[in-house]
This record gives sequence, C-alpha cells and structure tokens, in this order.
Amino acid sequence: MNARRDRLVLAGVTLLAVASSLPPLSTLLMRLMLTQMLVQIPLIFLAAASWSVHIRWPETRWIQWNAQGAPGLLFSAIVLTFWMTPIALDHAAADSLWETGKIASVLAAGISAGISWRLGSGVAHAFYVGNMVWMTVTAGMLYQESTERLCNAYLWNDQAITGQALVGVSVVLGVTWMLELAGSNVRLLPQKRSAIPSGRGGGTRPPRF
Amino acid sequence: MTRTLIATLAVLTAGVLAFAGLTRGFTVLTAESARRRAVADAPIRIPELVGIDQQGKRRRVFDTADHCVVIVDFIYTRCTSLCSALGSSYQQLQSAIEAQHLEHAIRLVTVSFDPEHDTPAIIQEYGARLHANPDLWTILTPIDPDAMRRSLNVYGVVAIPAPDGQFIHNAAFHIIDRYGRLARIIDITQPNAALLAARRLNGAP
Repeated sequence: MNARRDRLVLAGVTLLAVASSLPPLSTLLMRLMLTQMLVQIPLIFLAAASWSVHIRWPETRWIQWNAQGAPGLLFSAIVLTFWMTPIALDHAAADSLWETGKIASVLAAGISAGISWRLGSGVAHAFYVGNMVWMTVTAGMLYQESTERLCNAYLWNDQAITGQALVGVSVVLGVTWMLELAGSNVRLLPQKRSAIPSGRGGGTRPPRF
Repeated sequence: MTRTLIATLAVLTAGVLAFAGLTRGFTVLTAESARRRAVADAPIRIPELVGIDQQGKRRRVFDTADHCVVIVDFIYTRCTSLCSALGSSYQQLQSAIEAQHLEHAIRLVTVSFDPEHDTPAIIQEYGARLHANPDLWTILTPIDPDAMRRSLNVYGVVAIPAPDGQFIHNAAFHIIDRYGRLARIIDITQPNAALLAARRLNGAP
C-alpha cells in the first residue's frame, strides 16, 4: 500500500515538475521570485531526484568515479547554489536560453543527487545537507537584508518574502535531516523500494551511514 | 579513490569557472552591476529611438550630427520617487553644463517609458515644470513602443507595471559617446561622476 502511495506521489511530483518547466505555468511561476526559487526549481529537482532513486542504475565501474557520491553531491550543491544568486535568477527571468539552461541543469543536479545520495555515507550527507542549509540561509538573509532590489525582474517585497521563505525552507531541510539521523521514518529523499525489506533493521541492505 | 578525487576536482573547477563567468570574476552579484561593468569594458551600440520632444518636434535620442556626448535617463512623469530624484539631478547637471559652457559638448536626454500616458502635451508640461532648457535638455516620449522596448533592453532598464499607474524600475545615468555607443552606466546618486565621465568621453581632460 505504501508502494502505491509512493508511486502516486512520484507521478504527481513529476507531473507538476513537467508543467512548471513549460508555458503557461512556467511563465506564471517566473513572474515572482518566490515561485521561481521555491516552487519551480525545487519541483524539478525533487522530481529528478526521486526518479533517479527509483531507477535501478547498472552498478558498473563508473561508480569508482563517484565514491561516496562525493563529486555527484558536490555538482548538485554547486548547481543549486548557482540558481540562488540574484544575477542568475535575473538572467533566467529575462532570457529563455538561460531559462532552458536552468531547467536542464537543475534536472541534472536532481538526478546526480539521487544517485549519489545512496552511495554516500553520513559524512557525504552531512557535507551536502550542511552546505545546502548554509547556502540557503545565506541567500535568504541577503534577500531579506537588502534595502535595494537585487533583481531587475522582481519587486522588493517579493525579494524580502522570498528571503524569509528561504530561511524557513532551510530550517525545514535541516530538521528533516536531523529526524532522519535520529532514526525516524522521515526521509529527505525516498529510499529505493526494492532494497527495503518490510521490517526495519533487517535484510541485506548496506548500512545507511 | 583517485578517480573520485579527480572527478571531485573536475566538478569543483567547473563550478568555480561557472561562478566566475556568472559574476564577472567574483565582482558582481546582480544583473544591474554586471551590466555596468560590461558596458564600461566594451561599449555597446544603441538602437535608434525617435520621440516627440517638449517642443513637439521629432528627435532622436542620439544624433551623430550633434557631435555631442549624451546623458540619457528613463522616467515616467507620474513617478513620485526615483524619477523626482533623477529630475533634480538633471537640473543640477543642466546648471553645471551651462556654468562650464559645455552646451556644445554634452546633451541631456530624458526618455519616458510610459508613452501611453506621457503624451507630447504632458512631456511639454513636465519640461516646463523642471525648467528644462530645450537647447540642452531634451525630454522625449517615444513614438514606437516596440522600438522603445528594444532600447530599454539594450540600456538594461526594466520597468515593471505596478498598481495605480506606477512602475517599479531601475534608474541610472546612461552615457552615450560621440559614436552612438553606450559607454558608461553611472548610479543616480552620482551626478558629478556622470558629468565627469561625459567630459572624459568627449575628450576633455
């Protein structure tokens, strides 16, 4: 029953992510900084990450290039940070080529995060989540603090609200990860279904950390 | 492990390069400051923009025949904040140009980006209110909205319509050299710097 629910959630997120990357919804979401940063980008990222967790990637030699998922997680963190800077958001809002590049890179960042998260140990996860929380808080503070508009495409109060929302999201991200660390059922990313036995703690699944 | 290290370094290098490209070598964080730097590094040719001035005459924003450096700003007359600051800066610039006898070297041009409301009659009234000397300071309302949009794009001016006929917009002194190229963008808080840059572009020491 949980597998069915997960499939439904995945389908829903995917549908929303596809819709938010294409007009008319993308045009609507790009009108506000808040919806570009906190709806469109996260949806695309989450859909890509969820898919790459579910797909059974062939365990080939390329994994040697991505031990602990380190370069993959680093790539994902860099891409997400890139799209938090006011200049990149402004370019995406003004230029459809930039917007296409944004969607493609966030998609790649999500896939990369999904693959690499499973390969990573607690240290890799701590690096990734810590980095994302830190960057999101910093961006959020910058947007709240600034007395001038940082994006020509967006209004000042939109910017301030986005700043508050970014800090809120980073708190949720941090708390979720801590709950996961503490062993609760909360997960930052869905676990691969087939690898999870029905009872917790049993089976042949490698330890998470 | 070595392979992972190589991959990590490659990703890191690519990331640093991408950020350096985005921020013009880690010097800018906003599109506005990036634009100012880009223009100062390599002046860009501006598209032709024709409008009706405060005397009801057709004029171009820039005309090679004038042999003048032009300081351009973009406003709308109903504006109550940024544009009034720009208006008084332009009055100061006008006095400075007259005092330094630079009338034949530097021209001032104010362009409305709200031609729908800012008709020639309103432009005339606006010019009179600011005591603009028409020989020196041209106030224009563009004729062709498409040409206006193209121009705003090149100058890097973004005007977002807001309620009650207001706009949220960025503002600056845009300095056009004698060859019709946008050569400097200077912050509206620095009219003296704008005048100095205009004099330099005109060959004055």
